[in-house]
Order: sequence, then structure tokens, then C-alpha cells
Amino acid sequence: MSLKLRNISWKIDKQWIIRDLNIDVKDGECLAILGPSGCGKSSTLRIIAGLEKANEGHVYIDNIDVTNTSPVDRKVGMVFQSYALFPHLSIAANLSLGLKIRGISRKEQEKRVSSILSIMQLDQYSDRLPSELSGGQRQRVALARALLREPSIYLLDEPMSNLDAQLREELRPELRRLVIYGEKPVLYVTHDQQEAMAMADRIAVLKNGNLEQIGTPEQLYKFPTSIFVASFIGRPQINILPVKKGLIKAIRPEHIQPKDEGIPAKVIHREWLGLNQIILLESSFGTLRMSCDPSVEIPSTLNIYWDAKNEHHFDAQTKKRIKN
Amino acid sequence: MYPILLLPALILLFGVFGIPIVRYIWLSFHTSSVLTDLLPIPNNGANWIRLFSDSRFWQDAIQTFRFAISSVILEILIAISIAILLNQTFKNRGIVRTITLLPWALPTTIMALSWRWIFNTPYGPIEQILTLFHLNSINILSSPKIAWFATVIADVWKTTPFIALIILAGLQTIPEDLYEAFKLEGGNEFSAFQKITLPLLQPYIFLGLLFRFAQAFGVFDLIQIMTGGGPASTTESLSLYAYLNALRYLDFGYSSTIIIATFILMIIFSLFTWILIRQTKSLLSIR
Repeated sequence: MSLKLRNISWKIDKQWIIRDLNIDVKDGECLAILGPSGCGKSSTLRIIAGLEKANEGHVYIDNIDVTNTSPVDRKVGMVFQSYALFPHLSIAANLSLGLKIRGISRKEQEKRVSSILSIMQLDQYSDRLPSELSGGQRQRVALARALLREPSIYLLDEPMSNLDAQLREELRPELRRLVIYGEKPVLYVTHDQQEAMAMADRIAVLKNGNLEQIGTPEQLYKFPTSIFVASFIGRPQINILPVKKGLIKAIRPEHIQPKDEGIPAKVIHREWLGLNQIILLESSFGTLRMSCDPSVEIPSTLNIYWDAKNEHHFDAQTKKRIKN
Repeated sequence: MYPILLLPALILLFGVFGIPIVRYIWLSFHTSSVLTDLLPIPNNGANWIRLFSDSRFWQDAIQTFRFAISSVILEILIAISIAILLNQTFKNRGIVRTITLLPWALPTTIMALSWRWIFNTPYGPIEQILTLFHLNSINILSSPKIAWFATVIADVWKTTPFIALIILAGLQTIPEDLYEAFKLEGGNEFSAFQKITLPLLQPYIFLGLLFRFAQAFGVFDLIQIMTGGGPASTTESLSLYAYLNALRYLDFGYSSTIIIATFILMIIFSLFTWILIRQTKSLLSIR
């Protein structure tokens, strides 16, 4: 185990931001911390980096308790959401600044910076200022700075959120290649469930500072332990059916199919997306989302059906999963 | 696209800047005093010849530079410290920020009178404190060696808040992330100030510098009230000298010459400062 969080709690004034958080990340594993804004995901990263100090609990990096260690001695490679590049310094100076502070010889600085610049394909930009680079290039500089740190752990705080959707998808494989397929643990904070599923080996879903569920993307998708996780993971969103006898049933849109004998439903909206089509239906269960094959012809009224074994059952009181 | 739309603004600018400047240049080549019944009579540049050999003018020019440079440098140094303090999070920060601005909001006449009283001999508080500790009286405002510095102190007191405000605005544009990234790289707070805060504050510091220098170089009211230019003209500024020529000696021609000469000195010095700023810029940036 290369990163261990044990019973981490943190509060601002009297408000708990993180409650009793326990997380383990293995060497070479990428864990995404996923949740809506204000769930404590960035705070978790900052506590690991040592930028904030937890009120309770311990942080272990490589089995060493670093709870009271200074940020620099924790050797974390952090990529900030804003990239936090120094705007008045050239790219090369941005990268060598840390090496300089840590007393690495000038010759060695130049060697390491030029090698990382060529790995990142940023050679020709070494004399530019950050403002003269595109968003994707800036992100690469921020990554390069983290790599130069030779860290024990990588902390990526929404590294893609300042990029446009197309660039984000293009950069995913590159990011995985450079950082995530390494030998160090990687923590990847994001609010985008799709990105989390694409990038991470495991996902930790946070809600109001509590760990809601942790597991592989598949586990989270197939066996969500709460209604919150079920609705947060998977697009189009899961259908939550009305409460019946203290039980909430939920069904994924792709498990609903048109069938001759079934529940009558009326089409109120349709999105044909090429890969699939998403149909919004009005039925006795309320509004339902159905995702089906794009070649299927859908009339304006139809009967629908789903297999009961695909249903997810939750307790109406606790909103937690009931074994079924 | 429609340059004609600039016309109203240009007419206004020409009215308030152009006409007076042209008028003063014209007047500086004439004698217009009680001897000529204040009628301007051409004098073939006699005013300018007089200016170059007028030791009082050159003495005042040096004194004005001394005043402007000392007060602006002190103001910048103190303002940076104040701005950093005001940028911290603490209770009642809004109130403290407002209070800090108060000296700047005070009319110069009132604050100059107050400072004259503070430096008063033998009744002012400073002299009182000296007496309390059985020290000799300094007699600040009557001492030709230090009276000028008393005017600098008063000016610094009044205008530091203004620069502090500019620098505070600058500090707020620096994202917290940069300091955190710097900390993760192993930098301490002192080097963060040197390598992040100062370089990123540069434009704001230079803005304050230029603003304040232009203002301090034209100082009049503060000195007129605190010392009246004395003792022995050691605190006299160029504006004060121009004023005395016009309204005490009723020599409008020579007064105009002083005003135009001051104007030229000011432009030369601003250019010099601008070049200096460009030099420092490349010096401060870390490569």
C-alpha cells in the first residue's frame, strides 16, 4: 500500500468538510475521487499534499506517517486545476525553479528540464511565457513540473476541467501514458463521472465529506450501494421509480426495452445520437429514460418492459442498497 | 471608424491643457509685471536667461526632487507592507481597510495644519515628549537641515494609503495556487515574496510610482501651510516659487517661465523613470 488515509476528518469553523475518511491506493493504481462540488474531494487532495492539516486521522505515504511532515518533504507531484504556472517565468524557468530551490546543480537542472521538455514535446516552447501557450500545452507543462518532482504520489486536481470537451478526450490516453501507467499511486479528482470511469482503476464517490462507495467503475455501475451513487454513475441517468412499501426500485435506461405486451408509455422527447437513441417516456411510473438501438423504429406510443433481475433495490429510508 | 466622434473630447482636452500651456509658453517670452502695468511686452527671452542664472530656481528644483523622491520611495515601501497586512484574513478586515484609507480622504489643508501642530515648538506633542525625557529641543520646522524631512513625513502619512490601495488590488490578482505550488516545490515564504509577489506586483508598483511622482513634484498646498517654504527657503518647491513670483511679486512673465521649466523637468524625469522601469523589469525577471 502506497497511500493510506486513516480516519481523516477535517472541518472549517464548525462545519465538517471531511468525515472519517479511509482510503488505500496501491502503487501504480489510479484512484479517481468523484463527487459533486463541495463534497470534499479537493480538500482530500490538499490534506494529502499537506496544504491543509486534518483535525483528525493520519496520512501514510509509502507506509510512513506523513501527517506532520511539511508539504515539500512529502514529495507529491501535484497538478492544480488552474495549473498554477508562474506567469512571469518562461516555461523552462517554471520547470527549473523547483530544482533550483532544492539545490540541484545548474548543469543537472538544464539536463532534466530539456529531457522532460522533449518527452512532453514542448521543446520549442521553452522560452515562451505560459500565457503564450494553449490550454493543452499549459497542462503538459504542469504535468512536466509534477514529473520533475520525482514524486512518491501524483495528485491531479481536475486536470482536464479547463480544456474543451474534444481536447479532453484527446488528452486522456496521453495523461494515462505519462502519469497513470507509472509505478506510483495517482489520485485523480474530478466531478465528471465519465472522465473518472475512463481514467481510473477504482473510483471513490464522495458525498458531503463521506465516502459513499469505493470500487472499480464496473462495480460502481453494476452494484451501486446507494441511490446517490446509482444516479451519479452512468449517463443517461438511472431511472428512480416511485416508492412502494418502503422500497425504491431503480432501472438503468438501457435495460428498458420496447415490447408488445408491457407497460403503456408515451414518447415525450427523443434524442438520436448515432451510437444509441435516448427516448424520454411518460408512463404510470412517471418519466422514464430509455436507451436503445438506433435502428429501432419507435412509435409515439408503445409498450415497454424490463427484466426484474436488472432492477436495483434501495431502502426508502436509508437510500442504501438492499441485496436482491 | 468615425474619428470625428473624438472631436468633443479633443476640444475639451485642448481647452483645459492646450490653451494654458501655449499661453504660458507665450507669456514666458514676455515681461508682464507691475512695471508694465501687467501688459505683456516681448523681452527677447530675458526671462529664460534670468532663469538659468537664478540660483533660487535651481535650489528649489533640487529641493523638489529631494521631496518627491524621498516621499515616493518611503510611500512605496510602507504601502507594500500595509497592503500585505490588509491582504491577510482577519476579523473586521473591512473596517480596518476603511480606516487605513482615512488619511488620504482628509483635505490636505487640515492635515497639514495638524502636522504643523505636531512639529510645533515648544507646544507640539513631539517637543513635549522630548521634554518628558529631558532631551534637547529639536525645533523641527525652524531647522533648515530637517524641516524638509518633516514635510516628507506629512506627505507620506497622507498618500501612503493611496498606494497601499493600488498594491492591495495588485496582491488580489495573484492566485493563491501559485504560492501553494511554490510551497510544494520547497520554497519558503521569504523566497515566495521575492520570486512571486514582487515580480507580479511590479506593474502596480510602477503605476503608483509614476502617479505619485507626478503629484509630489507639483507639491504646493502642504508646504505652503506647513512651512510657507521656510526656513530660509529650504522647503520651497518649484510650484511655490512660481506662485510667489505671480502673486507676491506680480511678475507673471517670470512665473510662466518657471512653470514651463518645471513642466520640462517633469517630462525629462518621467522619461528617465520609464527607462529605469524597463531596465528593472528585465533585471527582476528570473530566467
